[in-house]
Amino acid sequence: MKGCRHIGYTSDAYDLFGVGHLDQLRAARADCDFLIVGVHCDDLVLRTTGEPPVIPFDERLAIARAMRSVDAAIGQLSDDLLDVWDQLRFDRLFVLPRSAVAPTYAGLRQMGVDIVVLDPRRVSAGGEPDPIRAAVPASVPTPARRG
Amino acid sequence: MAAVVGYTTGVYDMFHIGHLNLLRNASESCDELIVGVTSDDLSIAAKGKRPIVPYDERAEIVASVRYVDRVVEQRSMDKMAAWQRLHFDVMFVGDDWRGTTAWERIERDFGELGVRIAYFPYTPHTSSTALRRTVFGA
Repeated sequence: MKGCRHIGYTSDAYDLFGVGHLDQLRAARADCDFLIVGVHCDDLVLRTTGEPPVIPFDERLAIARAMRSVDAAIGQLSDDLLDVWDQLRFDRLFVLPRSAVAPTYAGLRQMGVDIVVLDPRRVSAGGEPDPIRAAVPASVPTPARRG
Repeated sequence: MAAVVGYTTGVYDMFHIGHLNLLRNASESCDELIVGVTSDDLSIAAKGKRPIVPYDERAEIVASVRYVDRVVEQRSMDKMAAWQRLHFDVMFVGDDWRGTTAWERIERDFGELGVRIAYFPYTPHTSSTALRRTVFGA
């Protein structure tokens, strides 16, 4: 990481990885020098969305990590980004428009972190529906969990 | 010695860990990995179903994987025609195809050109078919 001027952080479930996720990662990487990606653990996905992810954590992590735009990927256990910051000391946080006003951002700003809202053009949660999400019926049966 | 060019093909619909493992294994056995992503039309003709994710997006995701050097569109099942364009030295195939009549013939034809066919274990736990079943309950 020597010589990196800006360490960026972005996080999501990256469930059913699609081009929306890819855009999010590429946009974030274009605006920092080293991008760390936090992949939400299964419990965090369940807590924040009310549903378990379709793809288990270790597979979502491996796929995010394999993307060229990603310099490092970690599991994110807590939704408290100050905890995450405390360990990683990023100075730029990339967020989706839907989460642009989270209460912890004030604390992060005090620590000198820039909060950058990503352009939602193809981002899965934004305007254009992701083809995978669009194909999934509104009530997805809880998938059979592996071990 | 010249760089070893590898080639592998697939639909890569709803990109998952099985695809990723295949691409990683393939990249470790060659210097330059070219991936043929099956077109929507060929997928319909060969498998009787349209992929859930359209070609452009499937190709974009495969091209973004760090193990992949180049993506081409696979519009035909004719591997020899692909070789004439790409001149790969080794072709990687899931081992579920080993011993099939079609692939034994491909092995023979490519053997004459000095092109190797390498079979890789295909991660049994996730395939697009299984994922479709999970996602659609069908």
